[in-house]
Amino acid sequence: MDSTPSSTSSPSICNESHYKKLYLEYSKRLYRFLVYTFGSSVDAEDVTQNVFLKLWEECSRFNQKNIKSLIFTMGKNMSINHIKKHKRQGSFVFSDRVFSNPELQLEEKEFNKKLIQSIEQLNENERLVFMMSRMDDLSYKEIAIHLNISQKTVEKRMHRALKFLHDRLSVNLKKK
Amino acid sequence: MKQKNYLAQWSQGYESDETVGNLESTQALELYKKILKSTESIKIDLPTSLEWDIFSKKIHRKVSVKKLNLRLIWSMAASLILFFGLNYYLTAYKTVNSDGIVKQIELPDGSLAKLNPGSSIKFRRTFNWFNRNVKMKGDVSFIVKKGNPFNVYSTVGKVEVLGTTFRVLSFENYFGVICKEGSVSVTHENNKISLTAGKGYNSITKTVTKKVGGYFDNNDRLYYQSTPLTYIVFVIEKVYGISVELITSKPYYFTGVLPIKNKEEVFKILSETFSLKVRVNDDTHFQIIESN
Repeated sequence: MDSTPSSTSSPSICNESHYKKLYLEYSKRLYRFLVYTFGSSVDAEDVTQNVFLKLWEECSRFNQKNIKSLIFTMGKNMSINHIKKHKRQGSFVFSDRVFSNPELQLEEKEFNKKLIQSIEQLNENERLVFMMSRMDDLSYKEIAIHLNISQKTVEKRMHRALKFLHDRLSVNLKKK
Repeated sequence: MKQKNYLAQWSQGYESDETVGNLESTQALELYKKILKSTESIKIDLPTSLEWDIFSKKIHRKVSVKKLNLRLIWSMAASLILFFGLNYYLTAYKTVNSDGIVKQIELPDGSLAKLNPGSSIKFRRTFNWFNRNVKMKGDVSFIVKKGNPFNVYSTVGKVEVLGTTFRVLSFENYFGVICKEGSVSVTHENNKISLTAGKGYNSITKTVTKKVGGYFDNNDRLYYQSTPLTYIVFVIEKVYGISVELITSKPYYFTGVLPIKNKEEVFKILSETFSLKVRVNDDTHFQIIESN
């Protein structure tokens, strides 16, 4: 009689097809989260790659239970180390890929460029909340759960982020 | 007094434009709106290096540069040799008769197995080392040469012989054995039943029958003993390459002889035996239904 694996145990991620499924499900989400954290697509790319390579190399230590939270925790921890190592705080650069709409008018493109520069200059916590709210369309409650902070803190960070962006862009527009 | 975090509330639609306009200015409100609108155009795609086709090459490279443990490699090689070695001897040979005619095959010990349409048998490379074990499905007659114990396993029962001629029929929960020569020992539902020449046993009546049909070795006619009509229909479909839908309110069991080269005669015998009607939909689609 054929034996079937126990239904109670989570499948191992050392199996490449399971790992691939996991990668396809979470790599983009982690990458986006790291772009918000760093304000830099280059650093986000490095850390996303490192997280998934580590997950593969040490696959026998993990199973699919709570894998989502494990991936994001690894991402957050590696981000801290990455920032320390590369000492890039305050000098983040979004890639040109972020604005992909070729239809935009020159004036709008200019505004968007300034907006991106201002987002890069946001405090990391405020940028994370702002981007998760605007890009991922998450409610403040959902962001609070994801970042393990209170909803009030989320609202405060969002308010400050908007205020900061407004002030930056006002100055830039006046200069122009 | 200004409300706390009014910009956060406004961006989610909980505060009106008017509130922001009053608390700041109309010009500021327009800029906030522009900020929110512009963020909608931001698109963050996964970079090419993180696409699975590219990234998966990196994980394969990582595997290959892992430090090699010689002891581990030797033990893995030994396991592989053992595995493939064992597998060589445990490999099972399977024969399925998907044709509409009786197929005869010779087993490694010279015994013969006659597979009726839709039947199959399976035995390992180790057949006849210590005993001769065969797994079967469907309707198979065996002509066994004297030698090691010869065991036939079906999902429902088991038949043990030394050297004899017998037929086993196993289909879903049905199990039937007919002994032509010598004797066989049948195990069914933990009961052992001995059958001598000319006797039969089946899982429906669960009794030993004395008289069995005389068409045992005839490839044109097959004898059935309390055999489910569902199985007969299965054989008809295989033999004639047609589809037969059996629509009855209760199970029917057939005892008697059926030709295997005359579809019309088969349908006639079945309809007369059970008072069933055979409805012809077209050349290849038939229905067997109850008369009333």
